[in-house]
Amino acid sequence: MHAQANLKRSALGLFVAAALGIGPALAQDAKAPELPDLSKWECRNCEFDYGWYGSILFGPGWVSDDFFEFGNYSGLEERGLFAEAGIDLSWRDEDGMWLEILGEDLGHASRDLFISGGKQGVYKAWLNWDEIATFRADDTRTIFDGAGSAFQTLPAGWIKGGRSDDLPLLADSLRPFDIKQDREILGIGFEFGGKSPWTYGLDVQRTTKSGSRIKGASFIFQAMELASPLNHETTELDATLGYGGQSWEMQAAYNLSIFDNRNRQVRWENPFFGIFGSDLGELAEPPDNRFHQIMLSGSWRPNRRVTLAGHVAAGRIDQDADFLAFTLNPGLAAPALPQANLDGEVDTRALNLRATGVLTRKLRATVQFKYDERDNNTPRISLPQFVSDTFVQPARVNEPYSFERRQVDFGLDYRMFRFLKLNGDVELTETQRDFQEVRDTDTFKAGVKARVNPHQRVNLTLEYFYEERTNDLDPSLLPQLENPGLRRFHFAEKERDAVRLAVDFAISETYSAGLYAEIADEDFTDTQIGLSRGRDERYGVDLGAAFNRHVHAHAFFGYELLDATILGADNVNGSPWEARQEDEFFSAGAGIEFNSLPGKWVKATLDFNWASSRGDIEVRKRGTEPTLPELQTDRYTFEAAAERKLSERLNLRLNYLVGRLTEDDFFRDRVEPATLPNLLSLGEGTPGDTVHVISAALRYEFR
Amino acid sequence: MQRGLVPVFIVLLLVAGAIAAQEGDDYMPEYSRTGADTCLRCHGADEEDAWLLDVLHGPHGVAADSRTPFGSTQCEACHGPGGDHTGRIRPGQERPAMPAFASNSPWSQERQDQQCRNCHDGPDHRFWDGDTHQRNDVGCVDCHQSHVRRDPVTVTATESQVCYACHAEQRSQFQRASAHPVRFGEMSCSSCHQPHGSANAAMLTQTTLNENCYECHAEYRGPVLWEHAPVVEDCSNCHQPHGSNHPSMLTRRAPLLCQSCHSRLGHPSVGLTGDDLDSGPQSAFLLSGSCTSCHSQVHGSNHPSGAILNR
Repeated sequence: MHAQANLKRSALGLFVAAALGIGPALAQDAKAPELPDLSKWECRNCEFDYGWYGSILFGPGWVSDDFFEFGNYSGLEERGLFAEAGIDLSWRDEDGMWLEILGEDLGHASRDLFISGGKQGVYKAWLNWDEIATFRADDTRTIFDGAGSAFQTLPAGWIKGGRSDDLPLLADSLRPFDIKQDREILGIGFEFGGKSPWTYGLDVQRTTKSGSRIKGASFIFQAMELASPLNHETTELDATLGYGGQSWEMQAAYNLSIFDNRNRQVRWENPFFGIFGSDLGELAEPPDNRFHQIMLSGSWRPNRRVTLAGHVAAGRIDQDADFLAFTLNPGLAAPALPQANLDGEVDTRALNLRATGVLTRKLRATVQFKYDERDNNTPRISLPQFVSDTFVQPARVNEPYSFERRQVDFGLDYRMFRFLKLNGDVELTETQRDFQEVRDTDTFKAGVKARVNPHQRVNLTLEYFYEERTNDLDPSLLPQLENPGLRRFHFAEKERDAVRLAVDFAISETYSAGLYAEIADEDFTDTQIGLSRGRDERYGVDLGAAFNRHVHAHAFFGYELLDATILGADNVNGSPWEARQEDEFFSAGAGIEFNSLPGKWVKATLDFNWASSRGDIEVRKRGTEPTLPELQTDRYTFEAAAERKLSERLNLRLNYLVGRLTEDDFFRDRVEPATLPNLLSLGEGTPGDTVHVISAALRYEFR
Repeated sequence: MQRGLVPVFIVLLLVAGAIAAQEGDDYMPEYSRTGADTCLRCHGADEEDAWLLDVLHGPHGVAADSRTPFGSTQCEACHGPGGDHTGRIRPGQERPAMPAFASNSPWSQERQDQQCRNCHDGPDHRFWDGDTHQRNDVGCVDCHQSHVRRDPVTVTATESQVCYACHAEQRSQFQRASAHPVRFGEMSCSSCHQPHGSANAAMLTQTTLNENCYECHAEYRGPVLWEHAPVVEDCSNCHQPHGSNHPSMLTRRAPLLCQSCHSRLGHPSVGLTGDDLDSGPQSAFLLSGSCTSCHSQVHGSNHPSGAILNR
């Protein structure tokens, strides 16, 4: 509470200070000269383009192989023909009426189209359509009839067993089922402004997600993976009303988001012997919810040197989807539900205020106060637990989670010399939570940064950043049977240091180079069990060349290491173990772009990208370290494109792309449907293939 | 640092602050005599600088809209009054630069940005002052182009390339095996971040990080009966939104990710090693979905019997 009082006092003081600072800050800019007689500015040599401008593209393409994962976001997962189609058109007239149509990859499963238009300076309206396809796995197999639906049943005549390798009809019953999703967004909106200080805006968007995803489902000693259905619809509405004055503006905004899940649950029949009659299970799907928020925001800029800005928002989330039954096991006597639904309700509140002032020619200050709150007013209910539809445990009471965060930031920017600028930042954050062993955390962050330009061509940045978090841990509040040494990392006491160096160097008018190095260490100072240390190292180099306005080249290389140590113990009183997870990432790329070529070739690009990663997990236990295989992913793409003029308005665009993706992931590679005795998996493996894509399309230009 | 002293310190700085304009910002010549017709005598005529005329094809070149440069003072609306630059000079005298947006312009970057802000200073820019880009001297023209029909930074598929010019680490991160589809041009940095400044952490568009995620993942907004507290508080406790080598952009693999917070006596506490790779009963706690093979409702459950997040 002392910290809270300090935060409030600091915030109040800062805003008083900012207000005081406005007085001396009321300096005026140099006065603009009188406007000339613009009627004489005829712009006779200005070649305004009225009418249509842009191009449309259409032609055939070919994918060399079926490669499901390659289709992820590209929408080219199947061998065969596809349509290469795009549109980039604009139209204008002398009165300021305009229309723009931008469509990309219209012949792929991932595509988008944006149409906008209006009268410039008065109103505009738009329509957007965006479809993204994700393809996770096509080697997945399931025994269930109705896979991907809300009720998945066993094949006729199914013979149950006690283990997955003891299911006599398994091999004959497995059928392929692809795991893929499609997300489609359809939106419409308008803005109206004109010369009035009032502006109005409305944006409505409907997002649908369909397909399937992998979800675990279990009965005490056995689990199975389901191809779970995905059938969501989210409707968003944003309405704004704004007013702009000479030096200030305000806006009122209303946001509504309605999430609708077409499936309340997923049911499945137990392929194993069900203990105590547990033959049917049911997973709850995410319930429908609604979110409303009203936000009032604005800024006041009395002159170029002082800005006050802020917003205040209040929202409410509610959820009243009907509860499912305690259990589907008729052998367990379940009481009546105490209420039909959760009647969940969360109030959200946010307040952000910022004052920025140019104090002297060399010094600028920023202060900011932030507050956000999730106030969960959901009722607490005591409910007996019918665990895994198998047995009954004593009632548990839900813990509707609330938290409050207050933060004050101070920043100073000081241009010490023309070639040296210093930035300093201090941030104090207090977070309070419900129902956790840590109720209150205080975080102190501070950073300093120096930007040096020792030479016109060199820009060097050096940063140091420190963070310390303390808490009011009460170990007696740790959940039952947890190891008393456990410190959960998201509110554990910790110290973090980070240093970063970045250099940009313009080697010549043509060539430029940049490099960066960053190291961050995180130490959870009071943790005996849980995440205890982390380290992040990043290094990279960038090269660029602009041979002239039409020819550009670039190359880059990046490396990152993420290292984490997790401490554990098999038993509360002993058998400690230490795990270390180390992930390394490498990425590189190079490309060249010609926007003008001699002869009839008008443009060409070459682009290469490569990414590779390695993951090592070591678990040291009882003096031994039985190894786990390395995780690997390797991917590259090379793309070449060229465009040749066929006639004044018609171009031929040729495109070639080769992509390769391979992964080694022992978590999945080793697991066929019946590999693990207590898990009937879908047998998802890892991808490994190469694919070639070619296309030849005609581009018709309007101008 | 004594927290109570901080406001006093700031007050002293504010009161002591004497305001002075940046050197060169007072330079304010007269306007030219005939506007763009004067400019186009020298600029845009050669093949090398013909691209300058593309400003006439974009939204800045709409004469019917009096708010745009070509509805008012044409080239000088952005570049500043050009009376000196277009005026007569003596033989051997260097022609004075335009006040703004030329390689040797006298106006400071902040003053040049003001030229843009004279028109573009609405709600989207209210948190520009004091935010990361402004404090790091990022100017409008570092990201935006006006002499084009369509500014690349306003198109989802090309925006990230502009950002990568400074944010090279993020380019590498989006190359990872599991990442939001920025490298495919299906999302852009501004899908989550507000580059013109925001009062929110990390320049996010929404008031909290989770609200940002719920924009696309509304199914996790809840509230649900059995909440998983770290999920409700901060999605980035478990996910790395710029990309990860692990499925679902997780920061670490299960079971270690789960064991960072769960040590409950029994199977959650057991350290799983290479000895658990065979088909023994422990292997299901390690392989495939690991913990989530049973506790699949890690984002919370609305099932009356779902307290342990397995229903």
